[in-house]
Amino acid sequence: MTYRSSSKLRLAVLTTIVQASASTATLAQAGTLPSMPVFRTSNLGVVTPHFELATSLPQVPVQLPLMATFVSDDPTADLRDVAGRLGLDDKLMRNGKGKLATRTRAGTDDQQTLTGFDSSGGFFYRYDHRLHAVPEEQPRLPEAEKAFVIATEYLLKHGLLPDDALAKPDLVSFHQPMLSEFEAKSGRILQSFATSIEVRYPQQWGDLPVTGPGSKLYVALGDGGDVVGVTRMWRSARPTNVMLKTVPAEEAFRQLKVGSHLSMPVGCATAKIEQFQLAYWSESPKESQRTSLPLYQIQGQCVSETGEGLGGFMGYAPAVHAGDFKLNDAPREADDVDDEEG
Amino acid sequence: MSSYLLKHSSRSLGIKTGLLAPVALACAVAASSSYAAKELLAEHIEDYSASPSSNLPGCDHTTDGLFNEFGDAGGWGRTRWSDNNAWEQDFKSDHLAGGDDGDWSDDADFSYFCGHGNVGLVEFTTNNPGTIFTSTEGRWGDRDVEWVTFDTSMTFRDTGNNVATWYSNGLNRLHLLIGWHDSPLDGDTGGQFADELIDWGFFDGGGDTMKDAWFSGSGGCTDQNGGTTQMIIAEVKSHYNDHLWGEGSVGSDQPNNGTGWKWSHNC
Repeated sequence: MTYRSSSKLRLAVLTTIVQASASTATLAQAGTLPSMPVFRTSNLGVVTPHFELATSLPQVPVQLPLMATFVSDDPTADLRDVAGRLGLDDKLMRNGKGKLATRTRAGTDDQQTLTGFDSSGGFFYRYDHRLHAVPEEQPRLPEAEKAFVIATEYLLKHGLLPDDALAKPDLVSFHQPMLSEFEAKSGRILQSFATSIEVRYPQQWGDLPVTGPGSKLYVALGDGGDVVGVTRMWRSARPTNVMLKTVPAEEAFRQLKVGSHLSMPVGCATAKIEQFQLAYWSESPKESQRTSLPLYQIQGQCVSETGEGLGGFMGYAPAVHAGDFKLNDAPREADDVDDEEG
Repeated sequence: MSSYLLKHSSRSLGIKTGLLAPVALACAVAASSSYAAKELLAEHIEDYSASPSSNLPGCDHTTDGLFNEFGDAGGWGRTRWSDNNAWEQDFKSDHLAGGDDGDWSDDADFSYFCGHGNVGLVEFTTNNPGTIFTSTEGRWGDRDVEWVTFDTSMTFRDTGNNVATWYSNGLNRLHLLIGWHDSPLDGDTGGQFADELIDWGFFDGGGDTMKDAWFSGSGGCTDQNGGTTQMIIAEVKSHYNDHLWGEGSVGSDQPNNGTGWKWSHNC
């Protein structure tokens, strides 16, 4: 794939970190655990549940590398390039709030809009009147297998599939937004529409998955299997010579009982942990990000005292002693000028 | 009209947003005079230090963004309350003891709150009249409001009963109840939502419908992980095509007929 490699890349990290060889690897100062992402979840009335492990804890190396994240040298030029590939006018309007946008066939049923972020080059493209259209009848959506083929061919054709996206049928996930009419008294569903099918591509840096708002790639297919939207919030990374001492998974699991980084539904008596994995963090597409740390991402299902299912919970736990590095380490003025040919 | 000034003069003394206090008071007065004016109520709580819940600096930032975006749009009367000045009573139905939504969330056209939530509830930090606002206490639209957003975790989690309870009580000619089935990260949700709702006189990518702006990868979903589920509850299906006043078409008010709509979408 040539989309990124054809661009001049700018490493958003100190040159000295990136260019040093592995033999001169340094260990970040131990003892400092990074802050974790915060959920808007009330803990009033939430008591620490009984945790059940429905999965095995991951085998974690003693050290993991700090990742240097990078985006194109000129995200604005790349967004223009994307607009051209998608058949839109490449004269992007800047809204003064870190976003650029262009629109084509305005006022018609085929109106399309591309909105991008000049910090990262992340973008959202859609047919305005076809993505999330309010249906009168069930749209004709392709089955998952077919949807994967259509979506992947579309990304490849337009040069929009990043190298580090996992574009294999058994690795992608599928989602269908659901619109339902319900009777309030009984809760009965009267009619329901799957309004699109989305093919979602995971990302991996080294051997680890990537999570966070800056790691989203999905293609939405609407009626007749037409592509009606693409969301690509993405940045790439490579390991630096800075090694971070890991927190053993067993220790992170013990710390979970403190509960400070968990989002737990009220009334949760038993929390069944279904996923406990290491992942690197990719910050919001509207932010510049210099480096990335790994963290533990925990997900599962909650059950009340009476056995009622309460839905999912999730949380994060520190996975490394990070020294001065933070989860969302943004570049300083002097740091983000290191050019390197890709 | 003077009752507005008297009732809220004590709150304005403690307002943390400083310069915004006069705006809030001026708008409160303006809002009482006519439903025709376009009115925004924006409230947030960052400081949860007296609660077991964490502080939310992102709520402060994103509510700033939303408030300013409506200011840029022009023509909007704007009211803003923050932290200890953001009260449950502003959202609680004035048909219930201690509720005063008719002067606040139901007196605006677009009402927004950012803070902590959980399944079927929103957490406030002062006893005005309480700290927990629940799914049975909202009743909007009987005065003015078209759209209410709770930018809080799991408030509209689709357990079946929860969404139905919000609908049965809350939608009384309200068009849309907007929020989250899952738990949003404390990022820029409201500001990006508003940015996609509003197009300032020239094309800047805004002017979306409510649902398009909330579901947008460059709107309500910008700072969220993939897979975080949003929820919008409606009285009738056509309300999902509502734009903000001044940005496009808006459906007519509809009475609660006992059957509602819900639309879930993953960021």
